[in-house]
Amino acid sequence: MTVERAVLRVYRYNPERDEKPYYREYEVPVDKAQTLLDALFYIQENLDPTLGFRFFCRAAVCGSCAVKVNGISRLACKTPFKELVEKANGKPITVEPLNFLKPIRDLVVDHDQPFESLKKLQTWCEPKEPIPEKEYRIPPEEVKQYERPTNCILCFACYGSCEAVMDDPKYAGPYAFSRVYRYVVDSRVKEEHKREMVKNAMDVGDIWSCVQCQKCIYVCPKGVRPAEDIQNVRGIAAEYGFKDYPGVKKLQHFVDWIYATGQINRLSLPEEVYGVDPTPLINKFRERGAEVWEVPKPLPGLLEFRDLILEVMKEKKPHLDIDFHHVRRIDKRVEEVFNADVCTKITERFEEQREDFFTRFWKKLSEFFGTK
Amino acid sequence: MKTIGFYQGCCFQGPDAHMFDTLKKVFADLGVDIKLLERTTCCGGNTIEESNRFLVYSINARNIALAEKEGLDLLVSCNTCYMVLAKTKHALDSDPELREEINKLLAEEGLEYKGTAKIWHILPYLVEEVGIDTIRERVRRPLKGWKIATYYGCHIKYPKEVAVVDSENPQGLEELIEALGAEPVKDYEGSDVCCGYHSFYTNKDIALKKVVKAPQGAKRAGAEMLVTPCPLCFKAQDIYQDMAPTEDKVPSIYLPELLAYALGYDAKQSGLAFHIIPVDKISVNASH
Amino acid sequence: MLEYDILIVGAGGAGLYAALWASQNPNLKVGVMTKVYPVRSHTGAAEGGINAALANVAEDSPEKHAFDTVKGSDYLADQDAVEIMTKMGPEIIYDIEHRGVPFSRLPDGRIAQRPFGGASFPRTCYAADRTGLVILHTLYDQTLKQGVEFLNEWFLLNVIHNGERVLGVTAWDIRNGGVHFIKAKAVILATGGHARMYWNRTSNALGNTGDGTAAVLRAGLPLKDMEFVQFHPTGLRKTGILITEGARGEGGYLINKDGERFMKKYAPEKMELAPRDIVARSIEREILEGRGCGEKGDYICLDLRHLGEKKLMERLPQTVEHARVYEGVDPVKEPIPIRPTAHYSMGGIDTDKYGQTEIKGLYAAGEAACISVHGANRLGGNSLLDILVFGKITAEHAAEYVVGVEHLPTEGGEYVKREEEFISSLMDKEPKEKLADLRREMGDVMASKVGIFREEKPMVEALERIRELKERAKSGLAVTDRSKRFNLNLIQTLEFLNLLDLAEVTALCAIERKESRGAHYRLDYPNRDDENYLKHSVVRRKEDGTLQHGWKEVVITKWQPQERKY
Repeated sequence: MTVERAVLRVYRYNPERDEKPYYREYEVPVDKAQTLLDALFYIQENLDPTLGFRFFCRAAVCGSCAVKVNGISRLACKTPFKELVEKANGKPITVEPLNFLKPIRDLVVDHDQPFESLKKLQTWCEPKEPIPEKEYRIPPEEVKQYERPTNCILCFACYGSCEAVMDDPKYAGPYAFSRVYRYVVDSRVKEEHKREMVKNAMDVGDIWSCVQCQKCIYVCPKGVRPAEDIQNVRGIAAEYGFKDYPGVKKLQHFVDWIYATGQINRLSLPEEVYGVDPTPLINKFRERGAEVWEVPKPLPGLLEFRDLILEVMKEKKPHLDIDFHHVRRIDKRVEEVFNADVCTKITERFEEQREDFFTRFWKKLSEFFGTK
Repeated sequence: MKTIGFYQGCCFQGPDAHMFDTLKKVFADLGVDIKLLERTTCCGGNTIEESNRFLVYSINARNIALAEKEGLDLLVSCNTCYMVLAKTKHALDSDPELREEINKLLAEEGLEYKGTAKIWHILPYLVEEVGIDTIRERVRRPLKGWKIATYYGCHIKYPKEVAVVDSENPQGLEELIEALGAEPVKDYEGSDVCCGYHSFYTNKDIALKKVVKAPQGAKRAGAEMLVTPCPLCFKAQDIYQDMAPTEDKVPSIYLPELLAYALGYDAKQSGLAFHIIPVDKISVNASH
Repeated sequence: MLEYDILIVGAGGAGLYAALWASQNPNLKVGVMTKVYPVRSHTGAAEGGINAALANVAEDSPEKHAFDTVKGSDYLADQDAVEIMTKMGPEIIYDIEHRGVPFSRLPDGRIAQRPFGGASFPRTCYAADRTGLVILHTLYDQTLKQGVEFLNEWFLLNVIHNGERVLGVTAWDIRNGGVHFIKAKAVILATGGHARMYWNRTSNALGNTGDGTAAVLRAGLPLKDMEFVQFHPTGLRKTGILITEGARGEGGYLINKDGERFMKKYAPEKMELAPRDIVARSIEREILEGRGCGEKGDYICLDLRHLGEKKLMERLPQTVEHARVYEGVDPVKEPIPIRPTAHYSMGGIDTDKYGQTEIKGLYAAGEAACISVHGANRLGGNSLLDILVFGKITAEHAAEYVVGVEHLPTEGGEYVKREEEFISSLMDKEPKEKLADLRREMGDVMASKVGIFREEKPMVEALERIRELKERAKSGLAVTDRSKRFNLNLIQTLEFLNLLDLAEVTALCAIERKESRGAHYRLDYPNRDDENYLKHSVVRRKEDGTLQHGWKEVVITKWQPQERKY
């Protein structure tokens, strides 16, 4: 019986003796390895004892062994070797160190910097006063909120795949913001410290550099969803009133325009976020003969859509409220550009809704206090 | 003629209204009647999540429910809209409590999210439903000698639970390009790098660094242009690439535009004439 | 030269918690040295939970917890130490809760507790099935807050003392290469267990090689109760990777090939939740007697299917993942193939109830230490408590101690030279043996002859085989990678030599203890013999390299030995 063999093309670099990195190919019998980590051990034990790589628990919980396999960050110990071989379809499997971290030797890279980022962001619990004699009371629903981020094992697979890290050396990394989120939604943490962490996330960690590509979610071996945690932290920043960041202004644009028209308005974004007049860009398109709508056409069903948004916001408080003054200004522009009738109706209806909203609010309040 | 509901999102506004006309024409030629779901709204652009994830689920459950009410599947062109809608579907289909909560809200408008509608992104729809052969047969102006780099964009690749292409080895665009008579350029350096669109209004510097990576890599690999199925990637590569401090801009083409041109529409009809970074390959006066 | 008031070796739960308490006094220079990075340590693999008599779901008290622990230990634990541990349980839980550990909660917001093997009440606090992970990470975050200084990727070579006081340690800087003497007034060894001596049949991390324990042996100081190695009943068949006791705590069944819940024969009352040693032996017996599952009949099934997907995903997500990745089995649909796996070293560095060794300033805490709170058998959920309680106690004790003493005047040159010579000797040797082969042989010998069921003759053979392996290693095991930077070959060789030393001690102690107690089960002496063996075994290495075996009294306060029945 012939044993199926796979070829691993492994990145080698020992700065002590190599001028530059190179690749070496090794043949590994497929049945000798359950995981990629086993395959690396096979090489080390049988073919080349000088291969450098990290490992510890071999059970996907310590975070030591993340490497890049055919371009994708993975935990070596959690990557089934057979699947890898099948997918490679006869081609060599390239194993390299994680991106963006300083090389130490072969597959081993410096983890100091990403650990250091956590210190800079101050992702830890400063307990809220008064500290109870026993435990803080925490509803199970709250624990659910940080269940996913606390799965993080700091393997830095996300860091090595991150599009923001690639272009912003200051960017702390997806894992760091999951850590921020985890502590910011923990009711045991002091309010001032939460604010501090969110501020650090922006100013020290450059959270607004995230491009939302979702790769971190894809590569995370523990089901953490950093890109979504980043969204959450950004929203909390808006709630804390950090209004001067472009990202918060962008969010305000989305919140207001979508409520007002059912759409955003990409032509007013430059002005609302950066104070830049979009006219030159609009002119460029006009010069080329394109038709340009300065305001999105109001959509049928908009009134019902607005109802839905208001209802949802009553049930689940948003981090950033709709700026109704802005909405009124948007309504006016829509009136100018399109059929005034429709828009008047929208505005009238909107007033009704507001009235209705307050009537219901008072009713609830009086029910709560038991008065008629 | 097949009929499918079309979800437009915010993609076809401002200077881009014509892109929808192009898309509709192309699909009609390929035997698909695109029925615009007029009451659907913006998906939230993967941004409303920052303020209120539940709101995103609600408005997109409404968007899907609007299609379901008409008994239609949804066709989506934008990668981000696709991802946000698909994430919503994933959340509602796997969490009956969330679904019930949202259906209560939708009931006021007489809508219900049932989970029956399939959400299609145009790329797999063209490959799997329309078929490469059909497309090849309809080509009137083969793009002979065109070297086109394929750019898939992120949100149809990740996260895994909503991906419509193989996240690590996406396919479909190359076949399409070949069917149009052109030569695809794949796996060039930067082909997997994000276009930067979503960071333009959160950190412009990053966006301007990102947006040039794929075009420059494509160029180095010998491509003359890029094609992408996502209107946002396209806008980034057309408008933001133009703003970035690099020489030698590489034109980018929105997939339906490329199809339109190959099916015989002229530069204006296909929309290729309106690009900020001109597509030198076309002859503006060409007609079928 | 690096110099600390207190040097902590190891950055798992015990090391990090010790660091937090030691650095309470801002005037002390505290350092933590680890051969990996802090959050990599094996504490992170502890899944099921941490015991403390919070009485959140049932009436409970530290006394009851202490009794369960003593009974579980088969009366070999020192009862004064056990009482300290269980009494401190609740305050420790509240402390780490205030630091942010995300415990699972009861509907009213208090910490949830679940039943665990050998406990009379639901006493185990948990965070789903990743309790150790979240404790480790929370403590790490706290060390960042407190500005604790770390020496990451430094390997402990030897503990240096002058016969009375500790002087520091020698260590190898893994990243850059090179031997260093690190001066310290106090050293806390929190280097973890050594069940890797069973190499392929262990739940332990690859790096659980008893480096601190072996260093103490080399330093001429005593190790205690080394024969006691706990086999966890439920390791995955292929890899030994652990399936948490929480899986049985949540209601999982153990099934033999006839579909029988066989625990009813061995522990009719507690069934699957009998103490670990009993469950492990029951499984092993089922396998030996031909009632194992599969073609080879070499495993038993852990059936979780009746718990349903929702509960499994909610309470035991990691279990589900492990079964899927490492065994290719989906526990929602199929039973998980398991067999006992070497899991925990009850024995270790001999200390008193404050974690002190007989050398002033030298402490041990956590799995490296034998204090002894686990005696002959540790209860599930007690190890996380142990590491925190004694991490704190040793730190506080050390912090008090160092205030009154000065550094001894030494630059450590001679120690560094000795280590360098040793390492050179490893590299200059002619390679005749392969590390992987020797290591595998060690594991096979230990698992087959000093495993769950023990007997005089095979154990004597095992001791001989281990001594042969030591000779072979000495003459023919060379470090062939001569690079300084991240020299894995060197580290793995040193780790293996540590394991060999400890395997020798384990085999010797197991031979000497001619009774069955807790995890130490002898077919030739199936009963407990309190008259002759209600004693700790103590081993030290003499200057000529031979081992000296002796006994030490067990501390009994409240609970006289009774027969241990469940």
